Amino acid sequence: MLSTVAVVAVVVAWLGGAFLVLSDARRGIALGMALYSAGLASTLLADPLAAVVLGIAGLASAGLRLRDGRAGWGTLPPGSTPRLLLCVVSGVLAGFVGASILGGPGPAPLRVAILLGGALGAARLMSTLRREAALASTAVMTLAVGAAEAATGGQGAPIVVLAAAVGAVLLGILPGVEGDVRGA
Amino acid sequence: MGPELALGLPAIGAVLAAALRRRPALALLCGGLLGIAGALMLALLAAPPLQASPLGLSMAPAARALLLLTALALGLVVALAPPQADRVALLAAGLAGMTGLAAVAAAPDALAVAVVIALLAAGHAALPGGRPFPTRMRAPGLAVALLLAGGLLQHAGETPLFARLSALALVLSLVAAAGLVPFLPELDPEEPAPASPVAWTGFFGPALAIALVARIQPTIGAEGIPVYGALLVGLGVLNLAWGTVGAWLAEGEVAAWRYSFLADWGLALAGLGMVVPDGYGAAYLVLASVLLVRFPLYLWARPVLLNRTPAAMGPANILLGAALAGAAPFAGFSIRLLLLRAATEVYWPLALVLGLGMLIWLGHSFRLARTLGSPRGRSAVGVVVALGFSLVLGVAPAVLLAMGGL
Repeated sequence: MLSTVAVVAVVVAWLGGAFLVLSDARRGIALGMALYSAGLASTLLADPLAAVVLGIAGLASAGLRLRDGRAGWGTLPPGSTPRLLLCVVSGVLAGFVGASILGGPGPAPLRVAILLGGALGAARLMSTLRREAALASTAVMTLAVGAAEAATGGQGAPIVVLAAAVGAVLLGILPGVEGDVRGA
Repeated sequence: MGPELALGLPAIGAVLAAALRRRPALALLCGGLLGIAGALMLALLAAPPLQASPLGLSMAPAARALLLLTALALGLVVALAPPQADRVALLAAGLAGMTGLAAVAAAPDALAVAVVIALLAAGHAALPGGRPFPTRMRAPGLAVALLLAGGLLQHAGETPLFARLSALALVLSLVAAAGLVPFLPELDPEEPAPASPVAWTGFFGPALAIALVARIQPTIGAEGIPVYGALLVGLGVLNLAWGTVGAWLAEGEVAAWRYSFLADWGLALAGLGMVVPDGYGAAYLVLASVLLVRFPLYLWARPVLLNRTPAAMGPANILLGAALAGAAPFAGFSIRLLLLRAATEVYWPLALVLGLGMLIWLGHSFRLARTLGSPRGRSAVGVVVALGFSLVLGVAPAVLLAMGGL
C-alpha cells in the first residue's frame, strides 16, 4: 500500500518535471528543479543519506539557476500545448511503467520519480534551445541517475550518489548565458 | 591509490593549464607534466600492487590501454599542433577529457558511467564553439537517458524481455554517446577543433566506447546478448555505409573527414557486435588507429580545411591516402583481415557486406589525403609520426592487442 507521503512525493516530482518542461525563464526552471529534487528525495526516504545528499544538491543547483538566464517565470508561454500534453502523457506512462511493469529497483514511488526525471529531463533537453533549460534538464537527469544507483544498492552506490550530487551542483555553476566566442 | 591517481593527476593538470592560460609556456609545462604523470600511472596500473584502490575503483585492461593511447594522442597533437592552433586550450580540454574517460573506465556500472558522461559532455559543450550548448548536449544527453533506462531494466526483474530491452537501451546509449548515426550531431566547419563533434567522436569516443563495453557486456546476460550483438553489427554496417558513401560524396572537406570517422566507427561497432575475440580485437585496433592516426591527421589538415593553405597531391599525400585506405602494411590492413576472419566465423554473408564497404572506402581516402596539403615544420613531423603509428599498428598489431589483454 502506498503511503500518502510517497504519493505526494511523486506528484511533487511530476510537478517539478512539468515546470521544467513548461518554463522558458529562470524562475520557472529553478522552481521545476527544486520541486523535482524535493519529490525525488522524499521517495528515497529508505536511504536517508542519499535522500539528503541528492535533495540538497538539487535545491542548490536550482538556487544557482536563479543567477542568470531570461528573467521572470516564463511558464506556459503561448504555443505550449504540445509540451503540456507531453507532461500529462509522461506522467501517466511513468506511473504505469514504474508501478506496474517494472519489479525493481527500489519501491514503486522511487521508480516512478526516477522515470519522470529521465523522461521529462531528456524530453526538455532534446527540444530546447535555451542553455539554462538544457543545464537544468541535464542536472535533473543526473539526480535521477544518482537515485537509481542508490535504489540498486550497487557496491559503488555511495560514490555514484555523491558524484551525481556534485555533478548537479557543477551543472548549476555553469553560466546559463551562451557566450558568442568563435575561434579557429 | 593507482586508479585514483590516474584520475586525479590529469584533472589537476587540466585545472592548472586552464588557470595559467595567460602564461602559455608555464601552462603547457604544468599540464604536460601532470598529463605525463597520469599516463605513467595508467601504464603502471598493469602491475597488481598498484591496482589496489581505497575507493574500490578498477579499470579493465583494454580500457586502460586505450586510455594510455588517448594520452599518447593528446601528447602528439599538443606537441605537434599546427602553428595557428591554441595548444593550451587543446591541452586543457584534452586533460579534462582524459579525467572523464578515466572516470568512465573506473565506473562500477552503467549508471555510474551515465553520471560521468553527463558531466564530460556538459564540460565539452561549454567550450567556446559555434553551436549552442543545448544542440551540443543532445546526443550525450540522450545517451544518459538511455543508460538510465538500461540500468533500471537490468534490475527490473527476471523476465527475458527486460534483459533484451536493457541490451537495446545500452547499445543505443553507446552509439549516442559516441555521436554516431542515428544520433549524428550537427557540424559547424568553422568551429574550433577542441569543441567540434569530430573531437568528441575521434578523441573522446574510442576510450569511452571500450570502457563502456567493458562495463555493460558482462552485465547483459545470455538473454540480451543476441540483441546486443545484432544491434551493434546492424548499426556498424549502417555507420560504415553512411560514412564511406558520405565521405565520398560530401560537398565540404570537413564533412568528408567527419564521415570518414563514421566509417571507422562502423568497423569498430561491427567488430564489437560479433562477440568473438577476433572481432573485439579488430574493434580495439580500429579505435586505436582513430586515436593515433585519423584524429591527429584531421587536426593537421585543419589549415587546408579552413582555407589557410592550399590542398596538394604530392608523393607524401599518396602515401597518406594509401594509409587511410587501409592498404598493407598500414593499420587498416591488419584490422580488415581480423574483422573479415571474425565475420566469417560468425556469419559469412556479413563478411561480404563488410568487404563491399571496405571497397567503397577507397573512394574517399585520397580525397582526404589531399587536404593534408604540403605539411611543413611541426605538421610534417606529426604526419610522419602518425604514419609511423599506422605502420606499427599494421605490422605488429599483436603488441597492441597484448597491451589490452587481448
